[in-house]
Amino acid sequence: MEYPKITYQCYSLIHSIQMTPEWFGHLTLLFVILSAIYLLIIFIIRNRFSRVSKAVADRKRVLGPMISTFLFYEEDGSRSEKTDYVQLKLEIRQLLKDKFNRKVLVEIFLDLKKDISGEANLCLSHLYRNLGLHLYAFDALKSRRWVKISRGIQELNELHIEEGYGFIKTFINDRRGVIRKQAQLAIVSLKHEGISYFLDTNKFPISEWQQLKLMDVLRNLKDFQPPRFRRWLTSKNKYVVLFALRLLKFYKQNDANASLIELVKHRNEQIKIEAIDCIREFCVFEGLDTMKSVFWRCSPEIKILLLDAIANLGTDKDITFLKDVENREFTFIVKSKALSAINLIRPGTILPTIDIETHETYTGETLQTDSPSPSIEQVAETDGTPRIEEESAEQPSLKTPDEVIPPESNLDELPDPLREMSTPFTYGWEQLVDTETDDTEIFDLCLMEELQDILAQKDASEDEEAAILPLEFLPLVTEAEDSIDDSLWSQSLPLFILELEIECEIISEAENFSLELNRLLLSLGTPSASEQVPSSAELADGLEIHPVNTHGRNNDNNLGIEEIQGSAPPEPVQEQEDHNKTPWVDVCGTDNEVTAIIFHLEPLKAPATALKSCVPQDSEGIATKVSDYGHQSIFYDFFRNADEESKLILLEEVLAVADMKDCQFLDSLEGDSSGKVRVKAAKIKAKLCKKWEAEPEYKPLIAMVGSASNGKGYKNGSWNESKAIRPDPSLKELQPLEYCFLNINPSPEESADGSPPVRITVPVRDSGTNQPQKE
Amino acid sequence: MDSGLYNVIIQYLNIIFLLFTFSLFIIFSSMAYLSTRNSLHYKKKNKVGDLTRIMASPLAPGITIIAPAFNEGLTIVENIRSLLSLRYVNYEVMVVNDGSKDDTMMKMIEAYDLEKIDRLIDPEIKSQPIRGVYKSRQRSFSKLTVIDKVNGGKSDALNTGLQLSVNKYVGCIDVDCLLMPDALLHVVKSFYQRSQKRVIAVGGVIRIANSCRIEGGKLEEIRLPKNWLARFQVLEYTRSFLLGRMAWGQLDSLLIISGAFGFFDREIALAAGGYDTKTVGEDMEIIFRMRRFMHDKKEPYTIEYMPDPLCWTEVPESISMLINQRDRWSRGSLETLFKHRDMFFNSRFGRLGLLSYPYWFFYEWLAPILEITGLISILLFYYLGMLNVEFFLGISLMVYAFAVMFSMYAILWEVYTYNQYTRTRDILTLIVFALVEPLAFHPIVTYSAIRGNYKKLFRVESGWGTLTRKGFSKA
Repeated sequence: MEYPKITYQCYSLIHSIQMTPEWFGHLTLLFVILSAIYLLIIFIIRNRFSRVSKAVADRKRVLGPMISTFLFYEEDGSRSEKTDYVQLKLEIRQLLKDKFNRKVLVEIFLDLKKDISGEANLCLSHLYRNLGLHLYAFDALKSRRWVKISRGIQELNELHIEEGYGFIKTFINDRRGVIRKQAQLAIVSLKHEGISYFLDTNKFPISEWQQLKLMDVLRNLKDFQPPRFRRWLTSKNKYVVLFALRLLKFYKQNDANASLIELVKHRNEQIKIEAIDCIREFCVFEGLDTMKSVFWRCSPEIKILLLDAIANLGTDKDITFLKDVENREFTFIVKSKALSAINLIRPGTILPTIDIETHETYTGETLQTDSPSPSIEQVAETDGTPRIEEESAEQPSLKTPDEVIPPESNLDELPDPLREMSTPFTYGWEQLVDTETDDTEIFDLCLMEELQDILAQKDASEDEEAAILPLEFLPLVTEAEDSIDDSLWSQSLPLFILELEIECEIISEAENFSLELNRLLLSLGTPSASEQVPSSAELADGLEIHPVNTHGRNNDNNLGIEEIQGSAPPEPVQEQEDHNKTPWVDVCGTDNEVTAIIFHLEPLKAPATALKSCVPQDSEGIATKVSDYGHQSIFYDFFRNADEESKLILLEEVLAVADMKDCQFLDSLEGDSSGKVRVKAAKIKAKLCKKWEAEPEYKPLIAMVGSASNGKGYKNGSWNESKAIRPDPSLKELQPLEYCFLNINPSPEESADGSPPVRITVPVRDSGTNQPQKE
Repeated sequence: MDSGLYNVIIQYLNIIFLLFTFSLFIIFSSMAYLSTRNSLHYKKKNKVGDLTRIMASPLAPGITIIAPAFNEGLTIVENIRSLLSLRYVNYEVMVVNDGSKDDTMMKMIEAYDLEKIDRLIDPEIKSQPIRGVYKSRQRSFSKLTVIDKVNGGKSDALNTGLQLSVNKYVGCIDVDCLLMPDALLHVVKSFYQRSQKRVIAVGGVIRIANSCRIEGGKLEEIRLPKNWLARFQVLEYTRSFLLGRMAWGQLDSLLIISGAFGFFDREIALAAGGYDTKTVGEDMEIIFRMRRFMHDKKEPYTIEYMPDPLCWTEVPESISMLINQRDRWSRGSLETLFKHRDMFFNSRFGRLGLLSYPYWFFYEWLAPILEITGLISILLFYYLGMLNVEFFLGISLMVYAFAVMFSMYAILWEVYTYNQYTRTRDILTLIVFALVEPLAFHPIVTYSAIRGNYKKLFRVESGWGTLTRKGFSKA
């Protein structure tokens, strides 16, 4: 045989590699070493994980309460609280220099963002920005690694840093999917116009998952006014069209009927499905013909949707089509849907035919018994196969009353009275009656009967009380009263209030406050005026009377004044809820004292009195003395000890907490030895003024501080020169920031003998006492 | 015998075995690399974002979870309760009572206040007759539907569910599986995240729940099984799901989605013909058929695989039950491979025909047969006095070292990605079991596979066998 020879030839061509046991030994050794390495890595990784998770937990324990303190910090707190706040902020800034701390802090922020809402949520974003963490997120956007970029985008998005919008926009068509999707979510979330921008510019497909998430973002946007999404129904990107359709449906924008009808013819099944859904949802009757025309070329799934839409929108005219579907279709579920659509359009057209027993037809005697038993047995078929067509042809009597009954109908042969009576009882009346119409008719009937009874009662009874119709059965309708009877007013008011001359005007609360403050401050302008304490009557003169709602309002710049005054600010007056009383009267209560009606003035009086008491009225005038305010700023002491870098950091904090004292303090920095500090102080002042300008209640303060600076006040967004802070001569060299809080004050006795011991006061941050209550 | 011919045969046998061994090493190493890459990408990608927000979205698609139940009276009530407590808004739990002979149906009716409802059923439905469709009278159980039907096997029950479901996606699970609360959110994400390809099926990792603390249908504490056989299976599942399937998922060549946790695009599953009722490897067979259907349709598609630990199940704790289970798996593989033999090295099916099928054929089906052949040869050579003991020991040690190394890598990857077993003792136990497994557990698996093949090839009557569940509450 030739076969072995060939094999021998093959044998000479193919030789197995000559493996020696040494080879196996080497490979075995290699695998053993690799196993050992893996084993080692397993334990290294486990240790690392546990170490990292422990470190993160520890760090969170430190940083968590700090963030809570910031979040629930109230600006009208005491001086020590403010000091602690600033100290805490500086402390946290120091911590942020470490990357790990930053990472943990961002984690805390993101966790908190999910858990809190309202004011605290906004505060969280503000704090994130304030700590400069957003700058690190912006840095991450420059990275080449997709993980870092997407993380950065997510951070900016979650913490709602609107400044990031412009940067993130550039990633919307990034080729890296994760980044692109994060960017899309972010721009839609950060600005309301984001969705328009996204739909306009998106070039890539939008996955269903992404659409789901985008929709979720849109759903949760506050005060979102959706654009008209029909604009994108003509987009070249079919995914944009699909998403626009879904948005259209979600926001119930029914202004795109023509486009919807065209989209039913779309090649893409998803678009078709959504278009059909919209047509059904918005009752686009014009779409019926198109739906019928595309029906035969669709998949069963779409056919079911089409039938559903036709059932909702269709009329008797469409029944022929539906019957055609029932006859021609092979899919059971589509046939079934067609039948149910017929019944929906014309209820009772198709009746059950399977497993129905045959019984004798009801006679007239049965009808007389008044028992409404449906006699569907007439149409029952015993073979169990549905034969709707035959059934409808043979049993025209099953038609609903509003159906067009053909002339050859068997019903015509019935005697008229019987026909009239039998219709509702004999032929499945539950299915034939339009329950909604009947309910209304029954209600009308009952109402009329009830009214007639009442009127009859009224006629029968002659007494006065019967003259009022007992209309309890009618729905209780209440209307808000437009005006309150003057006589009731006057009865509820004390006499002295009525005697006051009151100019009533409707102005906004903020406007009211600022006007009053202006008025008071002007009165302080001249020494004579300021010395006079206005009487209650004078204060009440020109008072606007309207309900006061001061809750929730924090008058930031009042804090210093109140401190100086040494008295607590007046309690805000709660808005009246009882509509039967005049709001301000209730506020006054029954107190006969004049103070009862000056509650509007209390918030105004406090700063005014404070200003009067704190501004020395000597010959130097207000300006010079107000400049001394700078020494009362909480930053003053810090600056005496701080080095240049610390001063710059501290200046950042001024903006957040500044009041008039700090403003003056900033003014004093114009003469600082450090150029950087001078520039920074000027910038902060400018920002501060812009911030104050935006709020009417600060305007008087700006004006006052401006004039107090002796012509060196705020002009055109900048401040003029002022006194500089001189470094504390007792300190030989300036301190870095972390030591600024150590108040090193040599005691008088010790300084007298020149001995070095100093008293060190460390501001203590006591979470138990200083941490504000959670709102 | 001609010594020349004899030498040639020996030489060729050497070549075959050597090639087989080294290609196995290469393939396993490549799988480790691919799964590592895929897992890392998956982990990083899913770090960003919060799934739970989507839970109540109006666009969230409907999912029907089909859970066939046959003689599950012991655990059915608790298992359904667990399924009803998933975190997803738009889903239905459809329990198909496949003609149970015990009190499964009665227990369901009592526990969930079920009543028979009228429902139109396609007369042409391809399954055993349906005795009734039940819904609960209580609104709190409105997500539950129970189908009572004549016994027809797991595939038949799943087909019934597929046909009666109206949702876009269906999940076919074992009723005794414990799904994590976020499981459906992950599934929907996997179905919805692609825009260019249609995701026709989604599969996931199956984790072992033996000895875990489960209360009120929720996994409270993850523990390593106390039973030694179950511990070996932990190692085996980790290797298979975390490395093997992850790698095939990366190549888009997955050929199997576990029957305990598989989700399908209902339209495609039905169009492909649903489950094959004539095979015991229905979970593998349906994937073959769906892939074939999509290839024929020339529509871009994919099968997604999630490595997240979302489904927990009990594994056999006795050798006989384990052998029965693996025997069935082998028969299922053989049936499926035989049925779709035209795919073998068929370029028309792309990677499916050129990569997945051959791999499955050589390394899943043929490997046990080769192992047994090798073992017999060694014994024969030893008997004939031809065995080179040094060589034999060398190669055996090498293969053993490789097997241990691969298991170590699987443990390492489990620690790095999900780190489910937090106690150091558990990890040490797994390492010890990795050292013992090639000698103690692997021979059982090989034997089961040979038995399954033998039964199939020699037409020995055999069905599903039974797996007695202890029930999670008693674990």
